[in-house]
Amino acid sequence: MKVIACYSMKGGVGKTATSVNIAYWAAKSGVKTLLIDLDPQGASSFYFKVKSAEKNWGKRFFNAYKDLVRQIKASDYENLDVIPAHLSFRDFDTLLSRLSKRKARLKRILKGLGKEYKLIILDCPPSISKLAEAVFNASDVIFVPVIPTTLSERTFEQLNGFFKDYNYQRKRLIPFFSMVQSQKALHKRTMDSMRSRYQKFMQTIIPFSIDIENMGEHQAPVDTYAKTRPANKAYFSLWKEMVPLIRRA
Amino acid sequence: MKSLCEKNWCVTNEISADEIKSALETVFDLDTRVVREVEYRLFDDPDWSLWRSDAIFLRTDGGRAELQRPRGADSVDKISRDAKHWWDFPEGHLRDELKSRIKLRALTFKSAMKVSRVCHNVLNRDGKIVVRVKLTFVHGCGDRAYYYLGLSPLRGYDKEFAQVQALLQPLLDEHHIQPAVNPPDLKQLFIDSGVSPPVEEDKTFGIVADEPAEKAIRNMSRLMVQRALRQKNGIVDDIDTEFLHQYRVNLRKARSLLSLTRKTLLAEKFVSLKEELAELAGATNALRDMDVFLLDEATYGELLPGHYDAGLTEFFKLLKRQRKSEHKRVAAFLGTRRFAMQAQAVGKELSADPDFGSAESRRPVKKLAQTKILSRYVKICRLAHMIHKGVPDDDIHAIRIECKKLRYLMEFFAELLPRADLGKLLRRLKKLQNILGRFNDYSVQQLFLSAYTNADKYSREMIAAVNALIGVLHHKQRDQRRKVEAALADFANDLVRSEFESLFKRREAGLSV
Repeated sequence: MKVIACYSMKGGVGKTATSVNIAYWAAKSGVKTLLIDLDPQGASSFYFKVKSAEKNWGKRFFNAYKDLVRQIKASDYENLDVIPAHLSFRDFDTLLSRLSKRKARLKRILKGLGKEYKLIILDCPPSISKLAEAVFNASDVIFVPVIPTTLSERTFEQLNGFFKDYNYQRKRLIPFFSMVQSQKALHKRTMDSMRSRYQKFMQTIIPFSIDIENMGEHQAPVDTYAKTRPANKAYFSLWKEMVPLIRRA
Repeated sequence: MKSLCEKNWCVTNEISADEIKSALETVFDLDTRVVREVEYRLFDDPDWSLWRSDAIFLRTDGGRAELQRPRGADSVDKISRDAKHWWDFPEGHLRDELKSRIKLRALTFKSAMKVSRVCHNVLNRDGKIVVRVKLTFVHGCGDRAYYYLGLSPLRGYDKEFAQVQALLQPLLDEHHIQPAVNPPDLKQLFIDSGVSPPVEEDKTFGIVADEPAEKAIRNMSRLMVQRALRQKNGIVDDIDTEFLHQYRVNLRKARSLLSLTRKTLLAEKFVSLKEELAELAGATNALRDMDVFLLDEATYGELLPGHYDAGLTEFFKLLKRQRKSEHKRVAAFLGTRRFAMQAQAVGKELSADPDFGSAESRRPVKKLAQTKILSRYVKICRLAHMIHKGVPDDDIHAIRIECKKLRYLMEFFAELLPRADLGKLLRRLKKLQNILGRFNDYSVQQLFLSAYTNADKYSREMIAAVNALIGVLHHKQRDQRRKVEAALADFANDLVRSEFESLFKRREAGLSV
């Protein structure tokens, strides 16, 4: 079993859209996949039309594998299950701060799912918190969507710095450009400059697209309603590029 | 993690989408996905080896072939309609499975059925699929049509699953539900439609220990000839090489049994039967030689360096052409009046009442068998002790023939002897026979190839390849000879000897090793 995270300190960069579409393509490729929506906003749960049945169950999230398993919901797609988010997930940091070995908690709790799933995708909330550190520990690869703008560039540099300062393996951070508008000179310049400084940027670029924005309306991955559109092709290409990186990790 | 279980029912007639929709509409919506109709054609070898080993081989439109087993399935696409042997399939699991299960046999059509599957997604008010309802319609196999209804649960929606089942219950009651296999797989659907393999052939002869020998021998030979003649259609249709092989093996065994127990029959009857059987089999000799060679085409290719490829290809092309015309000749022979009359005459003679023209003919068959087996083993030991580096190959061939006779005797009368002890000795004998058999094969193959070295008839490249092959086979035969000597010494040792004596009652038989 491999665990990957879709993570950025910055909000609105396309983490959830990436998590949803990558989970979809992984499952469609025959990989038994579980998407865990760690963001209390619950956007990826919404995209898959799944809701948590139990109230305030977030407080038991890090306790035992069997508690987690009870929250799994099938998506509408073969090979793809989801653990939906709950508003109580907003207290994860407080919860983790009370627990011993908090950085390793998530990794330990996910271990049991290896019998059932080949791939676990963590859709993370935008913060650099105790939960984020638990995610860094649990993940084999951390995919980071970066909008090619000055602020996003700065955020990625901060993340790199954090990994360096706290001795996390920086090779596990794999960035890719997201929400790219190629007609914008700033986007072009930023991409050139970042690619020259960070060679591990993925080749695939996720464009800024109305088709991705429409995921909310369709509550479904892009492939199901915009099969032939560039955004869909980009997500499929991103998945294909991710496969060897995940396998090697 | 708890696994999810489908629920299935066999229903007497079709349930429409509207019926399901109205049963569920107070709580759920219905989204119908129609899956196209698929025709499944069932194939198996003539012995139904796949079916009997819990697998089924299916072909569907577009050249897809699939081998389904209880633990999973292997499939390949774009397979030629003519693919029937394991070697006709691309390398992979499916080919490996076929190789181990059907060996040299060919896949032939057995039955077909059409399966239509309609999937209804049951949606909650958020538009999320919570349960799947599957309707399966099977027809085209036998006279009846079959309808199945299945409910598939989805993880995390147990409550909805129970609700759907409760809402559909009146509908299920109305359609006279019956219990169904859970879930109905394709093999079960074929079984439900009346497909089943023929009863497996009884390999025994039904003889009893104190039965007079002539009666038993006649009966055993008759059954073997019958088994041989059952292969006729398979040979004529050229389904696979095993039909001819089994035809010849059974005739050879019948002839061998009569020869080994010749004193149980009147001399003139024995001679006449032996000649008739030799003629029925002899007409197929050339075809079998070619089959044996062609089955090993790939192995021969590996024996020679690459620069002989063109010559070897030419040789095998020629051999295939010759085999085709030889097969035509054999098929014609099997269709002649002469063949029918000969086969009938042999059957009639073997079915006739015993003559009891000799003391041997009245002897209890078990005692006769024990004497014959032990005396044959004694003879092999005597010959084996005379084998050393200097003796000619013909002496080895003589021992091989004796071993074959011993093996036949032990197998013919196996049902009269203790299975475990006999099995142990048979395994020892088979090991020796394999070594002797390979030694003989190399010799036969060299002889066969030498017919293709005539410079007036064949190209220089082909003759070079054939001669090279003869050289390799000669070398292999020399190597094999060393193994033969060691194996013979092993088979004639004190331990094996005492096992034979104990099983076949040395004192009773009046023989000493």
